[in-house]
Amino acid sequence: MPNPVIDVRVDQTWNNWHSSSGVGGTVARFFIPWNDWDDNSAAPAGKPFVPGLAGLKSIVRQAEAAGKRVRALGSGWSLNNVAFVPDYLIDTANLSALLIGFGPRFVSPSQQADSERFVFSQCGAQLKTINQELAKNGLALPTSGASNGQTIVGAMSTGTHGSANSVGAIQDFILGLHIVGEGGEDYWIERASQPAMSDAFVDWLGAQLIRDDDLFLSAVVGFGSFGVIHGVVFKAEPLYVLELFVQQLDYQRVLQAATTLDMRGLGLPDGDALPFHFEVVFNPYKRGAGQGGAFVRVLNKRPFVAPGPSVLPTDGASLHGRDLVSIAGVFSGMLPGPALGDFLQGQLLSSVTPTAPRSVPALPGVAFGDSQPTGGGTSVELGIPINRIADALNAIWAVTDVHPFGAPVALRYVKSSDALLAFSHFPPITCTIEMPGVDSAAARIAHQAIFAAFKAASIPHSFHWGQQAPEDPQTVVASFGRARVDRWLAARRMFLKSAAARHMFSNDLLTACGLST
Amino acid sequence: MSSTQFSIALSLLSALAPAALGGCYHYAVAAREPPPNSQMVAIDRMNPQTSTQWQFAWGLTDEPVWSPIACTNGEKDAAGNCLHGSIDPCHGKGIGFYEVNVPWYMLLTTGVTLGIVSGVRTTFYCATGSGSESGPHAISGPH
Repeated sequence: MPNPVIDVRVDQTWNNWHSSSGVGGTVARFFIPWNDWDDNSAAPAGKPFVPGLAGLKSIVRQAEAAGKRVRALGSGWSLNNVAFVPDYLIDTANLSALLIGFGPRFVSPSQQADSERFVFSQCGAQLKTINQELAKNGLALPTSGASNGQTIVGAMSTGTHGSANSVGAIQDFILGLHIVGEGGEDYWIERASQPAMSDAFVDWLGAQLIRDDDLFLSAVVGFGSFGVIHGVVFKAEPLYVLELFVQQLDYQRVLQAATTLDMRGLGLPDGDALPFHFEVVFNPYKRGAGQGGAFVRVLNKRPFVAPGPSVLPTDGASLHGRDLVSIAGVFSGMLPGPALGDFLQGQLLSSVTPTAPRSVPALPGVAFGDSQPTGGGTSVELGIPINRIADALNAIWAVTDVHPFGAPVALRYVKSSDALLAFSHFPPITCTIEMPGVDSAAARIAHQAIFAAFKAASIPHSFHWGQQAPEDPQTVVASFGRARVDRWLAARRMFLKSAAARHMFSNDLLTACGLST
Repeated sequence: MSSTQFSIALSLLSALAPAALGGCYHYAVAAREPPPNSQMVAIDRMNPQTSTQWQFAWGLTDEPVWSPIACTNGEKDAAGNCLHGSIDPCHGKGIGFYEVNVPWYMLLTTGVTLGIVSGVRTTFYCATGSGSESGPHAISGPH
C-alpha cells in the first residue's frame, strides 16, 4: 500500500490572505496533502480523492498521537483566527477533486430524478473552479459568496453568503459532509429528516454513516470543530445567467428599499420585484442629497440560452467589481473625515461601478471576482432581523459621524439558515451588514462603539464567524440563543466523545467563545 | 554652462542613470491562460513561495534563468544538472500566479550602488485545479 504524498513544513509562518493584524503566527507543522501516492501509482478508478483522504487521516492520527490540535485551511480569507491553530495546520488547496453526476442508486430515492446534478467536491475546491467545471456540464452552484476564490468547505464552515434572498448561504445547499474525525475515522453525515445519499454511496465512499439532523446542522457551520471535512455533496442547479445592474443613487432614495425590501421607486430592470441578489453599499460620509452615496447592486437570474453571455469572462476588477474587503486603501485610516468620504467614494465608484441603464450578463462563475490581498484588511459583519435595519443604520451613523473610519457599509439579504450557528439565522431573511476596511485604531474604536450601540438599542444581532467579533461566551449566546448553542455543544460531544478529541479539533478562538468543551 | 547649472545637470543625470539603464533589468513570466482571465485560475494562496532574484552590473551579467523546480538537497553537478532528482513544488500543476515586487530596501540598494546591485522579490503560487470527472454510476466491488 503506497503512502499519500504530504509536504510538511516545520515552524512555518502563516498569515491569512489579507495579512490582517493579529491573525496567524508560527505553525509547528504545516501540512500540504496531495491527491498523489508516493510511488506515483494512480488513485483508484473513479476515486481521485483517495490519496488525499488517506493524507488527512494520517495527519489527524499524527495530531492525536502527539496531543496536538489540528485544523484545516481553506483560502485563508477569514479575517480573524477562526482557521488558525499554532500546532498542526492543513493546507487543503490541492484536494480539489470534483465528481459531477451520480447514478440514481447512489442518491436517496426521493432525489433519484436529479442524480445527475449531484456533485461530490473535495474540501479544497474553489468556487471559481467548481462553477467552471459545472458550466461544462450545464450546471451551476445555487449561490456563492460575493467573490469566487473561497474553497467550498471554508466558505461553508464559516457561513459565507452572498445576497441570495431566496436561496441562503453556502451551507444551505450542502446535503452531506464527509468528515475525518477522532482516530482518523471517516464519517458520512447528513440529515436524518432529509437523507440525500443512499447506503450504496456511503459504501462506495468507504465511510461510516451517521444520519442526524442536529449533528449535520452543527457541523455544517462548525468552523473545523468537528474534524477535518474532506468533502461535501450538493445538488447543482441547471446553468443560469446572472445579469448585473448597478446604479448610484442618493442615500434617501435607497433607504426605503434597503430597510424594507420594497423595491418601488428604484427603477430596477425587473420593476418592483425583489431581485435574486439585492445589495446596497452606502458611503457613510455621503448621505446628503446629490452626493450619490448609495450603490445598488442587483443580480437578476435568467435561464441560460446557448451560446450564453457574449461578455468575456471578467478579470473581477474591470467588470463586476472587487470584493469589498479589497477596496479600502492603506491610507483610508489616516484621512480626516471629509477627505475620507471622498476617498471612499472614489474607491466605491471603481469597485461597485455603475452599469445603469444597461445590465451586464455573466455566468455565475464569473459574476464575482477574486479577493485581492489588502495587506492588513479587516472587517466586521453583523446579521440582524430585517425589521431592525433602520435602527441598525441609525446606530451605525451615530458612530461613524463621531468616529469616522475607512469602511463602506454594505447590506445584503440572505434567506434564513437552519444551521445552528449560522449567523444568518434570523427568519425569514437575515440582513447582513458588513463594514470592510483596513485595520486601524480608528476602525477598532468604531467597531466597539457600533457593537455597544447595537446592544444599547437592543437590536438582535449575530457575528460572521470569519470576521472580527467579540470572542466570549456571552456574545455567542446572545447571538444565537442558549438553545441553539446547547444543541451545537451536545452534537459535538455526541460526535467527538472524548475530551481529547474535542481539544484536538479546537483552537483559541473556540475556547474563548466557550465552544471547545 | 555655469557651475551651478553643471551641478544641477550632473545631479539629474546621476538620478536618472539607474532609470536609463533600467532596460537591462529583466524578468519573464510564462502565462498559463490567455488574458483577461487570470483570476479564474485557482491557486494555493496559503502556500506562497518567495525568493529573491539578484542582478549585477546594471543587468549586464548573464541572463538569469530562474525555475521553481529545485534540485533535491540543492545538489547539482558542474553542468548544473540535479544529482539526486528534483522537487516540483507544484506537483506538475504549474504556477498559477506570479508576482514581482521591489521592496524598499532593494530599491535603496540599487540607489546606493548606482544600479550595480539590483534585486527583485518574486512570489509564486501553484495552480490547484484538477478538473472533474463523473461520479459513480454502477455498483462495483471495493477498491
